[in-house]
Amino acid sequence: MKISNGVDLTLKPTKKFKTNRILVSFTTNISTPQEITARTLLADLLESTCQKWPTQRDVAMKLSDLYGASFGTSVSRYGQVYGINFIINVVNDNFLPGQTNLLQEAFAFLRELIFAPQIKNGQFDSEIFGIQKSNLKDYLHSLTDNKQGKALTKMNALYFRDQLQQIPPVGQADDVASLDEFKLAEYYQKMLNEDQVQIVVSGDVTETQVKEAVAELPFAARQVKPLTLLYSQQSEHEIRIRNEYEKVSQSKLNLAYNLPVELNSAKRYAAMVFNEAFGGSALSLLFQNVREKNSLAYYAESDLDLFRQELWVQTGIQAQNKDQVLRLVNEQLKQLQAGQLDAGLLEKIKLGLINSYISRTDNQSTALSRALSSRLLGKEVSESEWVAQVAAVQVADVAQIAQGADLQAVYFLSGGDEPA
Amino acid sequence: MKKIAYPQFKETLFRTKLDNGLTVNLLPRTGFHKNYAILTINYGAIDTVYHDQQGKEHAIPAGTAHFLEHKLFEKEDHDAFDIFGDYGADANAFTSFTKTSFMFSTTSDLKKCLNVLLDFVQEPYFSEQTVEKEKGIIGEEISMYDDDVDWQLFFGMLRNLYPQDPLNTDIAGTKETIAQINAQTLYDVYREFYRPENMDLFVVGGFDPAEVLETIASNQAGKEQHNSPQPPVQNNFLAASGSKIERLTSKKMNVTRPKSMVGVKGLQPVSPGKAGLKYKLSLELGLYLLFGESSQLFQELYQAGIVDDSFSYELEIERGYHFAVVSADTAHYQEMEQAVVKTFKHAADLLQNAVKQLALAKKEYLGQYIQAQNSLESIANSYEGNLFGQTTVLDQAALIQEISLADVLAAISQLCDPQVLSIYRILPEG
Repeated sequence: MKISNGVDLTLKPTKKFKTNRILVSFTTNISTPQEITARTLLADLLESTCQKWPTQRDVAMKLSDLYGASFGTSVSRYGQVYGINFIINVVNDNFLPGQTNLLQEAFAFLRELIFAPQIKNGQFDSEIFGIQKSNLKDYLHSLTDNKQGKALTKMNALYFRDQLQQIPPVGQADDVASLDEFKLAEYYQKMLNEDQVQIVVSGDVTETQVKEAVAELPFAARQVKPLTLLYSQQSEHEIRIRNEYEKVSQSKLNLAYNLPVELNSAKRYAAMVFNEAFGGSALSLLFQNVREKNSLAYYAESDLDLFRQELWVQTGIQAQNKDQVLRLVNEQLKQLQAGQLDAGLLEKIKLGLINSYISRTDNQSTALSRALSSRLLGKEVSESEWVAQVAAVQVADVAQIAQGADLQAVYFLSGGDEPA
Repeated sequence: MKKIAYPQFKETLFRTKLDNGLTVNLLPRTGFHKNYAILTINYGAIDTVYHDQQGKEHAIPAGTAHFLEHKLFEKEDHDAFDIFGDYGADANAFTSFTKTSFMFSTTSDLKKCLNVLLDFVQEPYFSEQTVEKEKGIIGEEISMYDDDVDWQLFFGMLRNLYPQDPLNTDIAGTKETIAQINAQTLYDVYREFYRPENMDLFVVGGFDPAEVLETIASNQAGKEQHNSPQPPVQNNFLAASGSKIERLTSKKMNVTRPKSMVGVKGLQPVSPGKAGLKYKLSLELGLYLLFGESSQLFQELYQAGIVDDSFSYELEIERGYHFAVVSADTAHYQEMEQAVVKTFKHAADLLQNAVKQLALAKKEYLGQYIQAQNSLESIANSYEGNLFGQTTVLDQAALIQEISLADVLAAISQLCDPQVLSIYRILPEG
């Protein structure tokens, strides 16, 4: 339902959980890499303090007072849309001693954090800004300490041709230096007044209760902007290859493919089944062949992001086995392209997908994320439709998707012998 | 079936011990589609000795518990993952220092899946060929953890605190120790530890407890179980080395930012049953007040730019050992270490008058324990068998409210012995 122009509320009543969970999401398209990093810094600044609770400790104690409410901000990317999310989870009053109204209090808390940050005269408080800026820089630098994460980031930088898509959704260390107290305050005003806002509430609550609580948030009406969501790029003839050396015990071989499947089309179900069969589960061809049959890896898996039409494979292997693993990965894809998928295996793969889809409805955050993506896609898919669509996928559909997968980038982080 | 009611949280737990000794816990949750079952064997990486059929002791190669966990899925002509796949169920397993657990979750065919779980764990099949093949896979798992900086930090601290105990070796072993494992090793170790009286099964989800119990009971009744003459698994207390610890060590790795950890080793055995749980919760509260997000210390270090959000603490209480650690990723690790060591040394004084703070901390924990009840996995995984008198997060939520400042002070004073403080660092190369 509409709260005001550009501000929507989705209510997901349920008695299944012992908590009420609230998401306030700010989404927008952006145009510069700096803004990706700036929004991460903004999320950090808005999470940690506000005028009413000027230190982290004050915020932490307030959350304790709300019976250990879990609160955090995060940034996310859906194709070309960038989100800043505020999530708070509070216990339902029914399970607490005495008189409480934690739903109302949770919204009152959000009001302080979202609407009253430590900005004076058009700039963030310098001391607080300095700490968060320095922490973010250190954090972004240290992302390469996780070798699997590093290999994935490097693979994406190699694969994507769009500058924004090349960098991780949290931004990059090099862009931190250019940010200052004034610019961040400007980004904040832009987020608060121009971003599209989705509020989603899940829990044992009534519409009246929620509407009353949402009124705590003084959102101004804003221009309703249709956002450009999906990203796609044409395949290139030449495969981009990059090899790097690092002193590590395990090498990482990653492959990125263009997978031209429209997210809003029925083909997305076949794409999910394809991914699950290729490398998305313990029954998959990659797991069975790279790991189980040839003992070459502990993990060898595939994943896909249809917001960006990208399919990728990640493996952790010994450097000397690189060519063998490359060959095996190609063979598995070729097999699927040729429609060589055992009917029994296909059934198991589909059942596994359906099982995990239904299982996720037992997790309260699923209601929030599904409501958000329905909003972004402008389309709501019911549980029964989702299940029916997956169940209807046939071997030929999987083969058709596999045929569309086009290898574009191979990134190798080698832990083998140091090149001379 | 024993029925344990938690009216405050609107939950009822059913518990029974089958004739063969298997403990079964069932927690029905209305409205949930998912069912989660976890079968736990009271055997992990710290159990380093087994007895042969003549009762003679043998050493177990490091990494065997974890290796056995991997190999139980594979049978002569099929893989358990494949059978779970027939029902769309998701299966997994993990090994810790003290336990091995096998679990699945499913939205349909719960009873069939329970049979699959019990059968694949209780009907071992090992061959030299499949054991050899697994060495490559586990070798890669070990390599992956070799590069995992946080894991290396944690294990560095364990080696410091327990230099002469099995905790000084990675749960998965090393490439050298797993080379010693063969099919016979796995059968021998299996026979010693995988006995029904050394196992428990916890099932939580949308089901009828009587029906599910019947499935489990008839599965077990139909099995020939080895009623072993072996003694029960010993609760070896691993702090015998006492204050013989490494006080400061470090390791260089290919990282951008130093990481440091300060640890303290528990020297007294933890009381069994609920008393142990009370000790644990008292320590949790005490450490939260000293090192948590709302602590004075964190605020000071954060404001001074010495630590960021990576500053955290952890308490581990397991069969045979316990310790607490505080860590951070920071270039200013020496300042962090000094402040943490000082806080450990004066812990009891610092908490002396923390009446108000404790009340707030208890509110925090009560809420957290209620939030944890949303997750089927959190409930089932919070069950620690005999270690804490068969309690779960439901008992924790009730018990936390009874803890006094005196309890916290007593627990913290017992743990925070300046004789057993240690520091471990991971530093960038070059």
